[in-house]
Amino acid sequence: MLRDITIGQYYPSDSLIHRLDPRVKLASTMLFLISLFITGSIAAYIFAGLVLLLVIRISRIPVKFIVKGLKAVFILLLISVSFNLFLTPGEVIFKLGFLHITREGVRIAVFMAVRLIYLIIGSSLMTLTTTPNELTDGLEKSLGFLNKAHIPVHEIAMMMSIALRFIPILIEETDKIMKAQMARGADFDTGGLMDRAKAMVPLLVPLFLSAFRRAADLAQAMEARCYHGGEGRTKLKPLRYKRRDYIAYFTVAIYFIIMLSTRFIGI
Amino acid sequence: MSLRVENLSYIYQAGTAMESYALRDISFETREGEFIGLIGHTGSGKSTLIQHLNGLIKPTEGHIFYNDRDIYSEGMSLKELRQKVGLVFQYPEYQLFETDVITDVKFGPKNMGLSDSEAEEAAKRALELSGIGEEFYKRSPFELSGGQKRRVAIAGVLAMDPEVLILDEPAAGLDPLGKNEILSTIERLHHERKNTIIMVSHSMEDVAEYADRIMVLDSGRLVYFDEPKVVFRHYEELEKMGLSAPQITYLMGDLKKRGLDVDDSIGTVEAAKAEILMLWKGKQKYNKE
Repeated sequence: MLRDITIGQYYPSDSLIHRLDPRVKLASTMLFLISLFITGSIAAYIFAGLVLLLVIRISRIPVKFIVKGLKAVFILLLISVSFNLFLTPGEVIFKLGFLHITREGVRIAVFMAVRLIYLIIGSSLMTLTTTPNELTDGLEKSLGFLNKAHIPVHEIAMMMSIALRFIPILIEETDKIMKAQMARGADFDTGGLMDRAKAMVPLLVPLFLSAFRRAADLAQAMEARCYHGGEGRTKLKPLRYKRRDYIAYFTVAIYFIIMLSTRFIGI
Repeated sequence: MSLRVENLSYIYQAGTAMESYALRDISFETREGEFIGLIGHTGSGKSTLIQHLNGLIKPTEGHIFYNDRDIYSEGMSLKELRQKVGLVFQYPEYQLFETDVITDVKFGPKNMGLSDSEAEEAAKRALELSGIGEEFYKRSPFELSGGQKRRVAIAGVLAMDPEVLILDEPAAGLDPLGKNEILSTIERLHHERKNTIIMVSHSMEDVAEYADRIMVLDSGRLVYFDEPKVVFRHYEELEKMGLSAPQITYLMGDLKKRGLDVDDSIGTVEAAKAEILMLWKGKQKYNKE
């Protein structure tokens, strides 16, 4: 059940998208997200959806796997959609007690839902096709200029990659402790809110302890290998752009221009 | 009080690119009160198999019967099953969470619906069985030594009074002294309470010493399930699976190759000593005559 969370997970495969330079994927994802918010027409969203589908195809990640990731944020989606649906003022088309649904509300709610779904799929595509290490490498390199402003880019990137690295470990750990307590008759699924909150104690105490223990072990292991931050540190596999990366940049630029133009042409 | 497994298979991450068989077509039945050693290389499916036995993992195919009833049939309560089939996970001391030892051990029996005083009784019995003295009852479990923590954690399962006890690598990561203490505690339990015990282990030596029968898993398949003697005779096949027979079995094998008439399926030092002494005495007698 905990394994269903696919956000931030990596899906191993050998596709063109997987092989792209992480900087390309980072920039493309950013541009994709921006493009979702600068347009406001149905045609543009259909176009963006088609592009997204094409990228999923190329990446060879099963659609089922991506849909599963959406389930985890379903509640969030539901809340934001219903807020927009019921609280937008305008021409009332449906009335039930104190609830009003307006034409503008429907429009905004639908757009909001589409935007959020695209946003989640788009960003999870990046994490699904990029290993956490590549991702932080890419971030570190593309944000390298911030070093001049005395922002410790390497250290922040390292912290991020460690945090990402620990997500699956902690999920696995949670699963294990949960099972162990279930073997002792613990019940996590039934009872009222208070009962359930109480039932979490036998899970959370060991989980926190193990997280602290792991963190301490890791810090010690890094120190034992003379880690002292980013200064003077070289890479085993430095990032270098290849032809496919330039082609990808070019394609994304075209996509962005199309999305941008829909706003001004007014399609 | 028997566990029977029929044609059990488990597919890990079914429907994704990572899909793989963790267990393949496993069938076996335990006998009342026997001590089973479960052995296999890392990733052979030992832990997955034992989690099936108390309903923590649902098999992809196949059935599990406890006292001839399918554990997933209607009217079977998994909670009740988990009380009857006690499972001690690997490194169980990492599941301790209460403020003192006795409260932690009471967690299981209380979940079973026992009253506070009944749970306390059960907890005291379990702690005594696993060799934790009364002076520890009110101490924080996190202050204890590794071996003590582990015995408290095992007591946490014992307090539910299970009929079948399954232990996943109960001696892993302990020093030789702690290891001996844990293993002899389990041995004592087996003698006093006549529970059926399934012990997962890496070490053939440990298994050879205690087990009535040995179950060998390799890549999710059940390869051997027989008496230690019979299993050790296959030491060449065992090596191909990344396992080995106990050291003493190799020694006996070498002696036999040198022309001495010894049993080369012996698995414990004690038995080997008896065998060699017998041979030696026989020889002395022959020399005298």
